[in-house]
Amino acid sequence: MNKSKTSSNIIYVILVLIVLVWTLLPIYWTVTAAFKSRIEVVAWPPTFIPEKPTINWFIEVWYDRPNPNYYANSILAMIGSTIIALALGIPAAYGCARYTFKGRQDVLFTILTFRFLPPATVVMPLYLIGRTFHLIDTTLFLSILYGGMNIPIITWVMLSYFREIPVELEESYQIDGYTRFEAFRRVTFPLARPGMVAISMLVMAFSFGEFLFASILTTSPVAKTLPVSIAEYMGGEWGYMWNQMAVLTTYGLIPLIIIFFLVRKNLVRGLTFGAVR
Amino acid sequence: MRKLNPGLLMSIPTLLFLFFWFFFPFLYNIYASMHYWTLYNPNIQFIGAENFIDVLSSIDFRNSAFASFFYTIICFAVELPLGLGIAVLLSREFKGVGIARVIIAIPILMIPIGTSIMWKLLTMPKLGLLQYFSEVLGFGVIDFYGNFWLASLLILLIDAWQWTPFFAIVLLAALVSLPREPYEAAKVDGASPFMVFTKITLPSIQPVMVIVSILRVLDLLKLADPIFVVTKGGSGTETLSAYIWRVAFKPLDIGYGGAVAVLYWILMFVLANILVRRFKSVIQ
Repeated sequence: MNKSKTSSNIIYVILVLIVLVWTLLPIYWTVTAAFKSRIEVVAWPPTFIPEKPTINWFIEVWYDRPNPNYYANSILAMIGSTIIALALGIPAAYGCARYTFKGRQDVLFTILTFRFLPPATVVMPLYLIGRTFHLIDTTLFLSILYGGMNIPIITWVMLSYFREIPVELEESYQIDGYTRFEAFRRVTFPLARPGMVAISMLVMAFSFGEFLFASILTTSPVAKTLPVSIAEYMGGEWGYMWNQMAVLTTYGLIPLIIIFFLVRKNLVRGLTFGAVR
Repeated sequence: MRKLNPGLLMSIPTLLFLFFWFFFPFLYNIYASMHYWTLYNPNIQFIGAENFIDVLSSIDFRNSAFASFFYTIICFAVELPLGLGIAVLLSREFKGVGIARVIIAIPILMIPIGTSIMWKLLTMPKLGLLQYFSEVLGFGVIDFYGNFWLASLLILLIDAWQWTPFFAIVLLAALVSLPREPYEAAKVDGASPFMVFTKITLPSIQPVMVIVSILRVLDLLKLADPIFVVTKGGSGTETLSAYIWRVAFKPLDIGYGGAVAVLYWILMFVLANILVRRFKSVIQ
């Protein structure tokens, strides 16, 4: 009995280690490539530990192209889109969770339908529309589109959280003389917050890394984003500029990891999409 | 006038926003698809269904539709079981489980384009670490970039690396928030671990599983990023999104691209409706 327990524990530890190595290897390779020289990064056989680690690339990408702008644009689009998605997604979720009206199901499923829409199918008309409204090459345009793409997921996740919070809680506050909005702000919203934080984190990651819209709808340092910049180091007369791409990918990971650490307490309660009963 | 229901009132701005930015472009596409229309040529000409006939008879279109479905199926078939397995593995309490749970979530946070490029660095012949392992183990060079099956394997590896964690962390969150009582009861009754898993655990996390699965399948049908940078659509790996990008946006052919977009849109709409209707009772 004891012996089989020990051996099953060993198998267990081995499995966990395999998962961790599999997950960390590409990240390790990215970060070390950022520290290697231009020659070492393409050396054969590959070097597992950088022989002469250099931080030059981390500085160079800051100067040789407007990467600080691209970085800032990515962060702005990420924040803007999350605000838009929350501002439009939460009222719809609350309205559909708390009130019954004719066509409520249709409203919810119509919103969900937009999650299925492939960006590639709308990018051309959006380019033309954006040109008409002078939105091409603006962070606002990206924020609007990323926000819109994420409204369905916010609405549906928040809907399931709002449904689980008893309406009586709000009503008892209203009896005490608070308005419906005050009751929402003081009772329902804090209870649904872990869910909101968790899903916002996913939305931020989606927006920060989006490539297709950004590659077509932005054209200059005014609005171009980090993923587009990474792709631009590929090909061209210098071939694949692995070091620069590795550095920018590493830089791109930093803000999201910080956010992840800030919100990780909410993740366990929040990421079940309110669907565990 | 009858007063509008407050619930509907709260949903209207959201609906209008979505319709304006995402449905209006679709109508635009329908209009465009019936015309000969490129951005280089100011003369727009009505040609009826000709673009649609061209698209449907194009081998590239059919291949890309196949590739999209193929990748959706293989990636989903790998990611869901693997993600569930990892979630079960990390739902046990042991020393260091906290840090392990953080580590497995990191791939989701990587910029997808960067991820794909770094996998290219790992797999380029005479350059990548995986090629080196393969050589050391005596398999020689793996032809990831010239063969449909191996190129597809690479796409699968990239997507599974980045998105299996999505299943894993969501299912993990579901597993650790399950109530303890049914498990204690099962223990008293002497149920085997397998019985406990299939009769208690799986049914309780089923709604979460359905929701992430639907989200993931529909995202997989839009798969484009790894194709853009890793295979560039070569070896038959071009998906529908990448196909539109090549035939429509690069030559600025609004008409033909519109026709592809309309067909793609209809396909997604039908599929989404089937999925949503099938699982309607679960996701509500």
